[in-house]
Amino acid sequence: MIKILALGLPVGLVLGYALQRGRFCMYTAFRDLLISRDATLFRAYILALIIQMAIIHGLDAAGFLTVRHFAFTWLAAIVGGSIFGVGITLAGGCSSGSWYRVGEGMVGSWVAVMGYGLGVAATFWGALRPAAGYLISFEAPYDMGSLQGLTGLPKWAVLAILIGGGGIWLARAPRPKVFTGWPWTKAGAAIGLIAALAWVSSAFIGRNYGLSFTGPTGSLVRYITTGQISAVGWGTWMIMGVPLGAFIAASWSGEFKWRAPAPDRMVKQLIGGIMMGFGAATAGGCNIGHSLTGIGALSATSLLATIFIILGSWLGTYLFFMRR
Amino acid sequence: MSEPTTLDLKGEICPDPLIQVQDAMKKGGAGDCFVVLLVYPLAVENVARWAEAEGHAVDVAQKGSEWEIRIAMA
Repeated sequence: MIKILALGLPVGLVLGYALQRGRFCMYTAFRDLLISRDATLFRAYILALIIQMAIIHGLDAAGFLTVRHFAFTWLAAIVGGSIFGVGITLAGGCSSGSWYRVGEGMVGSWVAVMGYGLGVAATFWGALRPAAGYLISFEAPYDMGSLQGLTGLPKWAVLAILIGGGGIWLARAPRPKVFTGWPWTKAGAAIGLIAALAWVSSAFIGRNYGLSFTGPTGSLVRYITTGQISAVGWGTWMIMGVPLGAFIAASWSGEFKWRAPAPDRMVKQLIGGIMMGFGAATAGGCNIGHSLTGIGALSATSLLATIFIILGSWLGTYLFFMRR
Repeated sequence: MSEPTTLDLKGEICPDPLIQVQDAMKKGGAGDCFVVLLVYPLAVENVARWAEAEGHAVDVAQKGSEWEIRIAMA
């Protein structure tokens, strides 16, 4: 347990710190593409993704890590991803976004994270299990679940296309302009390095996986409500470091402040959190587990889930906020 | 030069700040000024970035834990 704590907690602390300074909210990254044609935060996400991808596949080739793609549960990815995407608009942040805002004193995000934990636990072990189980039962053959398996291209070619294509797009970006925190380049590089560090840290305890928020949120709820200590793993410690790291970052920069939106808005955040929990637990991951770690591992189901998370976030933004 | 319109969005969370600024500015025209009050840094980023990309003159000032964005419409 001490070893797991010592490996997981520091990763969460630096992640929380970088998320807060980089204002790295993937809901905002996805939404700004739609409502203000601004790709600044989306660029930070793509940079983080390709940096992590290059490092972990390099370490995999060197024999230090084992990077495996996820099972291709395509219907769960589509439905779960969409519900998660709509949920983050109501919750006021994606899963990493809501978790780091806890450390900034955003009371509405405390409510959203509570809903998220409830939704994840209900889907993994409770009342929502049958619905998720049905959706997860639609599974394509495992070999089709990687981007190389799906396209028939060799793995190195897929990596070259993704990293090269992403790199060219980023290199053509306008100069970053910053008003409050880190530029997107620094935020993306930091998150990408931390995402790769998560794989390395996990490898020391035989966990072949990177950053993840949904499973750990569920395991934390499971430990709190049942006392089952075996539920506490690397990810549970990591996730507890995130609000602490964000709190440190916000305090040092004078940005920590207790603040809450109107009561009715907080009820929406609770509902959004529950939708996030069901969606992510069904899809097998959230904007971190799928969009960063899963796509990094070249999982087809993660790319599919991410596309539907983005579409869901656009739908939710349109329905609940723009069309008033 | 008309009186600036003040938008106090300190109690709002994303995505409301950006959408409310966009809605308010749709009703304005060249020369109109807006003062947007915010407490959330990410909202400051995306409101200021959007307004600049639209070609308006933008000035961001931090006052303690609050931000004031002044936008003069082009």
